[in-house]
Amino acid sequence: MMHQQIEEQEIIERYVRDQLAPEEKRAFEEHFFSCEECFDKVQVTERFVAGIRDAAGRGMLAEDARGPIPLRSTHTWWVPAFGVSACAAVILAAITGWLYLVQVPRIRGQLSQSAAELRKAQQERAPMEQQPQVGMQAEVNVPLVMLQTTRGLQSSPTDAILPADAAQLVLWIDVDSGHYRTYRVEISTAAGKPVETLQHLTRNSYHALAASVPSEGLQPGEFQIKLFGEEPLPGSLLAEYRMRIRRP
Amino acid sequence: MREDQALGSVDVQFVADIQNGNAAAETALYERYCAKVYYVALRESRSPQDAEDVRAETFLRVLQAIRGNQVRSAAALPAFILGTTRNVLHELFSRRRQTGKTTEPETAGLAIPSHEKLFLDSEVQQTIAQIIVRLKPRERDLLRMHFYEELPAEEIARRSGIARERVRLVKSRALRHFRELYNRHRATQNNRTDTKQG
Repeated sequence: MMHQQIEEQEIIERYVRDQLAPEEKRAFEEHFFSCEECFDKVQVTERFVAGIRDAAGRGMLAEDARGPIPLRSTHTWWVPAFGVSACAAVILAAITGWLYLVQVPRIRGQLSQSAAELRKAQQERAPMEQQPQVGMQAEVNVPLVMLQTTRGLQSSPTDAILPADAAQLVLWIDVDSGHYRTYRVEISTAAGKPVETLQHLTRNSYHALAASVPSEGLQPGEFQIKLFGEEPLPGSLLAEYRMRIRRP
Repeated sequence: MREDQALGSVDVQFVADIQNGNAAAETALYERYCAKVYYVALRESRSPQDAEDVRAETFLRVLQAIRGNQVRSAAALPAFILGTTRNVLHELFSRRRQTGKTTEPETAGLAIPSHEKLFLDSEVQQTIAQIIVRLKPRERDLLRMHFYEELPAEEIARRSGIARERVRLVKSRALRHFRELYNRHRATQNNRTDTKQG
């Protein structure tokens, strides 16, 4: 293949654009394998055609194109990046402004209101906290009565000396070893009016039951006390006691 | 002596040196033809990876043939290298067809990107942009219709009102400008690279 033929028939451009017949293509390839000049022209034409087609695809060769459109080269990556960053900055500024101007004052107001309510509640609670709670206070000289089993109506009741300022009376009941794990104690007046019921009592290491009873319900007089086996079922009456409350 | 005759004598010398065990001649042969083998392989396979593989396999076979004295005519070495390249490509496509992995680019349609994308980089785009600025609107239309819309020359002449001969002139002038500017870009780029490395 001669250079004149290549020139006249535009072989290089047609080769690049895949417009040669197979035989022409084969002949031209054999030629440029031994012709540096034609191979160089092929390389340049490849880039030229690729560039022109790319430019046309991007509208740079349009009829109304006034100038080149910015290239999508590696140097223009910052354009979209800058746009995204700018949008993000505007959104962030809007959110910050909204928080600072709207949300923060609202939260501050709520906080102030809560603090005022808390102070008010503390002021109301202060006098109550200063009053000692009866049930929570330690008590000394607690009266205690050790109950004895009743052996007949004529037997005298067990006396319990209950000072006026005593809050509790401790009952101490010796219990024989039996098969019950828990016990129940019912206290009633001599007339049979229930005063207190103590449940789920267990024997202590002295094989006795110990329980405190509020002194409010124990007015001077006689009381009947019944001891029941509670568990395991069935429960049953184990003993009866008589107790007399007296004031010192 | 014509240029191709001079090149032919160089090839004859290469073949003789390689057959005498001269490793430097093998390197020189590779440097002389590697770009061409790679280009043909890239055009056909449209894959840089495949083109690399084809180039390596081609030179392996070519050097084995030269060492084994299997090249019929040392003066026809370029045609032998090109033929070997085509054989390697053909075998590659045959293997792919058998394994069902792919088809030849010509029959693959749009599934395989055009090889021209492989020649497009930012330097080419910048050079083209500089050329377009210099063109008259009618010349831009002409290049678009020819290279992008791929209209026949008669249609382009009719639409643009430019004679067919003039169409060819506009194309060759734009190509010449491109070559000058592109080579200038490359030279500047190479100088920068050399300066950095120095």
